[in-house]
Amino acid sequence: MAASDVVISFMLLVSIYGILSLGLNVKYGHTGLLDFGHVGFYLVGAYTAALFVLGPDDPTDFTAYVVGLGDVPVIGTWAVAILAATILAGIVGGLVALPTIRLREDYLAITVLGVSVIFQRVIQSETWLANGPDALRGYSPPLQSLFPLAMDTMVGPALFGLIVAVVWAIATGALGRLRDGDSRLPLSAVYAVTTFGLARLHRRTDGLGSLPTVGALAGLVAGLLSFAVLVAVDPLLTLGVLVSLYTWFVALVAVAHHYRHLGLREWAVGVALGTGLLVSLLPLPVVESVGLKSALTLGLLGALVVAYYLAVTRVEWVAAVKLTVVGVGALWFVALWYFLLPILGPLGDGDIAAALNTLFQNVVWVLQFGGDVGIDYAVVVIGDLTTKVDYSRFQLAGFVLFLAGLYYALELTVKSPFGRVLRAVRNDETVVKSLGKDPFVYKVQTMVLGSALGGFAGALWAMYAQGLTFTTFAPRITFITLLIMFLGGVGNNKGMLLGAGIFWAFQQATTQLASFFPPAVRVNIQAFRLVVIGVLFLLVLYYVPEGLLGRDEREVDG
Amino acid sequence: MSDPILEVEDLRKTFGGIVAVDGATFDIAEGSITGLIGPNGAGKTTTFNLISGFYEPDGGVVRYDGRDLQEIMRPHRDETVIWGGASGITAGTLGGVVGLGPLGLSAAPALGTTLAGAALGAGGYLAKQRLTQRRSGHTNSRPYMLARDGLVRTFQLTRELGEMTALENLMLAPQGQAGENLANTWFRRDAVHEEEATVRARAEEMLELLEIEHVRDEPAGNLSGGQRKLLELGRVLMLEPRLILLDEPVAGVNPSLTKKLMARIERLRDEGYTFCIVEHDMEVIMELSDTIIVMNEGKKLVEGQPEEIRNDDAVIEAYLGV
Repeated sequence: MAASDVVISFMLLVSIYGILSLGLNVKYGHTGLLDFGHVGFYLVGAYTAALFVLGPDDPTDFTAYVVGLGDVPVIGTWAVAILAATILAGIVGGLVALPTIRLREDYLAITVLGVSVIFQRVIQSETWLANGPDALRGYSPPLQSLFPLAMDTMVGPALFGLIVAVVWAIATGALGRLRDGDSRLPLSAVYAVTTFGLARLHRRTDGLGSLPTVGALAGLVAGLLSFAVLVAVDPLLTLGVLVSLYTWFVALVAVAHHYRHLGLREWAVGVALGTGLLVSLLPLPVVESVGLKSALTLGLLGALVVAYYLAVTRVEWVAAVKLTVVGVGALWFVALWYFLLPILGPLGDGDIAAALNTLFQNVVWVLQFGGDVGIDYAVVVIGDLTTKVDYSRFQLAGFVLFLAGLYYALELTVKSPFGRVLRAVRNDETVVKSLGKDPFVYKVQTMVLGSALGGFAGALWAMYAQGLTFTTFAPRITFITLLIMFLGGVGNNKGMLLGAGIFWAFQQATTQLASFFPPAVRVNIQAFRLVVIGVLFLLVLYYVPEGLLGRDEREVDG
Repeated sequence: MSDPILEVEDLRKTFGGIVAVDGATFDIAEGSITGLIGPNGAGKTTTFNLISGFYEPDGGVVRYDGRDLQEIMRPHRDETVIWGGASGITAGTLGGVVGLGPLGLSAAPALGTTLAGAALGAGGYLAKQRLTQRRSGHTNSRPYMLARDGLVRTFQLTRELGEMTALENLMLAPQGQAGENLANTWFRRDAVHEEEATVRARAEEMLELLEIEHVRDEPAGNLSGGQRKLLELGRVLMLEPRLILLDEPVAGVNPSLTKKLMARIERLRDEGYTFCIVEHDMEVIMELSDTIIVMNEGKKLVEGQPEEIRNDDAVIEAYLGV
């Protein structure tokens, strides 16, 4: 699998958990309701969605569930399934809230934890409901049969246009935010081009002139254009290159903008940290003996941590940017892993063309390469490429679209007078009462909203996993979500995305690391990483209790 | 003096063995400033909590604007209908699912279980309401209903919303903001923005009036004690109330600002607001009040003009301790 495919599957999980964490953040971060049973609503969403798209059960096949609506036209589609999952999870959240919400913080947490376990047990023991303890499967994600896309029909270009639209909209939206941030690059000019001239809408004062709208419209135009171009001619690779390069450009601008305050020496420390991490992991693939490579790796990692600790405690200018340099280091490490590591092999063999080929595949992340199916290209220098648009990229476009939409809607909510009341409830309910507002009503609404988001995430999980078992929905999920929330920053929606990213990056990284060990050891490593996650949680709570991004206390915009 | 806006009759409240308020009876005239004084433990703050609906009385009646507080705080009829209906629908759905699922009934008997569930749900809710009403007499602790009707209070120990800025503390207060409705934050954003601008302008005016505009964007938790007192006063004024209960409004406020605050309260009184003030600063309360009520051991000791109180022997004995 190319590195870009790993990133795509990683991003799918990040968007599911991002939505799940956004839900929990509404409850705890914004309103102060500690919900240890968030996974319960995730479960409700997942199973509801699955029952909507599954065909009727078949006792001869040893499946039994209460209803399978998959064969009913319209109702049995994923769109309806996701909507129903969201609404039902919201209703269940409201019903759970009614009796429990009057409880004080810790009692509420325990009660709702109990409720979520009850849900899990109901699925397990009520065999008529959702296939009992056996897995619920037999449905497929929407439109999957159309992939890999055939470009000689109308459908293929249309779906690829959809992907382009989402990618383009998000990149353009980000660029719009950044366009005044850097004077060294002609960002405004680029923005004017990539919005297809729509940037002049910003002169309007109404909703049409806002950044998200212009970004979305630009995405729409880009999607339509690529559809038209693909139908007329067949430049899939060119389009892929164009879109991918644009995203890389925006990503670079974003990174440069984010770390614009850093001087050269701070950058150097960050890069050194990232490189150091890579170097300390090098013994894993190189050394044969399990004991020796573990010892070497752990020793080097320890040395790295000690060096970082010493620098942070002894050197003042490092201490001032202690978290920022870790961020730079992480990005640098990821960049090395993504661009450099895959081409080391071919380079070692002296095969420049193969190295460039691999690099190209990773740069053009919008398309999948390799395999037997697909469109063949012969490109100068780098050789032959077989390219196609695979399902996971389409799915990711959808998930990211959902995530962006929900994020935007939530930002509107928490930055409104409604969000202000929620924060007031978190601070002091008595005050809210004394000001003529009923905290109970707001808390129930919060539970409905947060649980509905949990249900939405559950529906996406059902789609992603293509099969559900009750064991998945253990309280562990709630605590992972809590970790994500505390990691990113309680009460900060952007922090949820960062937290989900870090958590799944850690999961992916440890999975990859484990593959360097023999199977017997691998199992231990998989188990051990839960310990590491626990320690990570403690460290976060101890050293950065506000999370990496801190609470988002920007004022309500007026 | 006009009609009383608040009538307190034989109000009682006990905490375990301690009788905090023991048959207090007094009126507060509309458009006046009434001072409530008394030694520590006289039951002033408890009386405040009873009048503002934060405590449930053990006996006695409080009438605000001629209406019993309990009546104002009682759930509206529609509210009962909504909750009863919701319980009915929920239990009905459960009944239907159970009927179709584990019991394996066909459509008609399942309809029966649905109806049974609905009846159980709605009936259960109504019965529960009836029972709570009967058990706790007729008390309803829903102080926000009173605030909506213009009876507001501040707290002795200030309760600022520490993580929110001073400005936000004030902007929280106004009633019935369109943006407090979840759906409006998505679908009526222009109206919400417009209203928000008005509210913000009012809040900024209030900050200026209280001379704390320099802490506008400071988290309220970082404010000094006096500033918090002012912020809290500003917050209840943002509600455009009729009767304002102030619990030690000038404790910790510097003398010159206290003067300005007093002038402000008097001007508001002239505009028609009614105040009831608990305060230990005798100079302030004597100068400010139209009427003074002296409480001792949960009862009203004396009531009268400031001059009368100053010279009353019982007051001097109980309170001034001379």
